[in-house]
Amino acid sequence: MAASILTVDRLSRHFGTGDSRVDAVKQASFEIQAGEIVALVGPSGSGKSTLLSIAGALLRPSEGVVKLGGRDISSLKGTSRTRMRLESIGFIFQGSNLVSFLTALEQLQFMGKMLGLSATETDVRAKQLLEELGMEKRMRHYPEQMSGGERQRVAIARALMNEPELVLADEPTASLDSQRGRQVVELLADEVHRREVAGIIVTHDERLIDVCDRVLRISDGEVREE
Amino acid sequence: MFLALREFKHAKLRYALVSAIIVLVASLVFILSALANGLATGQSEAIDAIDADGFVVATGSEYLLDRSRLPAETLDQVREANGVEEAQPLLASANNVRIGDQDGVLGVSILGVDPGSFLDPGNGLEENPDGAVIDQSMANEGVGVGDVLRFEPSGVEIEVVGIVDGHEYRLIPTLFVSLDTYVQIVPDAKDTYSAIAVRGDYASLADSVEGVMVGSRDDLVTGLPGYQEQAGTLLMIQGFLVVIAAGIIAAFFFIITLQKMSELGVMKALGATTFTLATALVIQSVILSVIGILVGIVVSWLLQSVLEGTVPYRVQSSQMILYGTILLVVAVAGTLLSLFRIARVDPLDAINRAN
Ligand SMILES: Nc1ncnc2c1ncn2[C@@H]1O[C@H](COP(=O)(O)OP(=O)(O)OP(=O)(O)O)[C@@H](O)[C@H]1O
Ligand SMILES: [Mg+2]
Repeated sequence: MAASILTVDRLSRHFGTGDSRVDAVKQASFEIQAGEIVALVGPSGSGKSTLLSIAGALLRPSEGVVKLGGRDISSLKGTSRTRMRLESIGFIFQGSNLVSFLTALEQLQFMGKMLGLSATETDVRAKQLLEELGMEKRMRHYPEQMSGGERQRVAIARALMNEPELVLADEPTASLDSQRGRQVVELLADEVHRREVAGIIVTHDERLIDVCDRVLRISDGEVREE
Repeated sequence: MFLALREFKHAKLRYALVSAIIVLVASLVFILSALANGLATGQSEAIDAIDADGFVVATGSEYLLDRSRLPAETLDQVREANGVEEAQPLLASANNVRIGDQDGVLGVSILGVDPGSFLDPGNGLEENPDGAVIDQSMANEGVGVGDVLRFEPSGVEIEVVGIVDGHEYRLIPTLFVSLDTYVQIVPDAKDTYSAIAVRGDYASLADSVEGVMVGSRDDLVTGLPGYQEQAGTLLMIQGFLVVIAAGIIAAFFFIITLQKMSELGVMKALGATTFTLATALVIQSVILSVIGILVGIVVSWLLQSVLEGTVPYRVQSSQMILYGTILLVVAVAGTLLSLFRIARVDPLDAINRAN
């Protein structure tokens, strides 16, 4: 059996107190293995983004434990949390995702800079990734010169620059038509399989589920394996 | 550096424009400081050039040489006083002069000194004590060696025997004559002095000599009519300009930062620290300001040769460095507001904002 990269154990998160208390995630437990991509689906407001933020060390849980590669990330604070995101996690967000004043190649080079990679190492990785995602002809283009699908492909490449253990995508296809959306998810799934990382894709689109290895359904903050 | 420069590259026009504004403001600051400096020097150069420890003037004159009249015996008393190494008398007033057979008269500052003494500006007065040595400020009016100056109303005629630089007094053409010549031109001044320049201990002279007050070179300079008011006004304008520069830079970077909030959120989510993002901003403001300041320095310096001899304008490198540094500090301080904003960006926005 493959090693579990992400372990979520009885994780809860609520916002507010008293009457305004919202239980966004309730006692969620699941694991994701290396090379496995999981779809996280559920209605609006069900807690998908909250769960993803906690798994991505952007938000701390109210209760429970999240382990990434064996390390507990739920209790990390400040710069060590930032460091964890930089070194071990890849993010793909919806919409306004790329830095507007950086070209495709520069988006990836920026990650290399922050990671402290050498210039040659950065360029080798960046060009290889952009090629894998079919963006080698768009390397010098700014986000405003790319289509929505191209932007998301660059975002995938950028998310893989740090050779992460975990890749998280929150509705990466939201602004794309279904055909292009599917292409993007397929590309992401391919990379997850090839690079043996763990991946979570949050999506509304049931038609994309078959691209993923497993499905987690969430409703009212309760996660259920399908 | 990476982020800072890429952003410049992507939004050249926007940054060029703000840099141009900084150039204008910086140029104005430098030009004003050169003007202030030119005015101040034009007022007091002749006094600044005197190598004395202090001055004795008449009580009640408030260091205004025109108003100060010391009787001749005061000089002897000062010379005999304890601690005084050397004392030299000085006469000064404003006068009208007609050059050659030209029409019209020229208002001039006339200074009487003992030829060969430490008050003598040199360049001919010692060799020709009956002549006049003119300052460059008078030479700029077209007067040269050999010209004859006719003083009004006394009618005394004196020949120009030399030219010195850096001895202007009270912003008008200035000339030096011997004490004897001075008394011919201004008969009223007979047996009196305007001031006595003292080398050695001058402070105690206020007590030991009757009817005098003592002061440093600065007292004499700031005592010049209008000197402080003029310096104060120009300094105030410069101060406002520095504040305006800070305001422009602060507003510019604040707006740009606000426009970038979602990108800043994404970068933080990706692992960028506040420090990384703040550094980029500070680097940008330093680069824009340094460019603005350097161009401003060049502009104000080029203006020196354009204005030569027309307007009292004098570029002084120590002042340039001072105002340049102030502008730079102020520019960086202007980004503070934006830095707070950057610090408050929550990486979680990268996810939430999209929803
Ligand atoms: N910062 C917050 N403060 C208060 N309530 C919040 C906060 N973030 C999320 N919530 C609430 O938690 C619940 C889950 O939100 P979440 O964003 O995780 O839903 P989601 O499944 O991503 O929805 P969508 O599909 O619309 O993006 C919602 O009821 C939301 O209002
Ligand atoms: Mg969401």
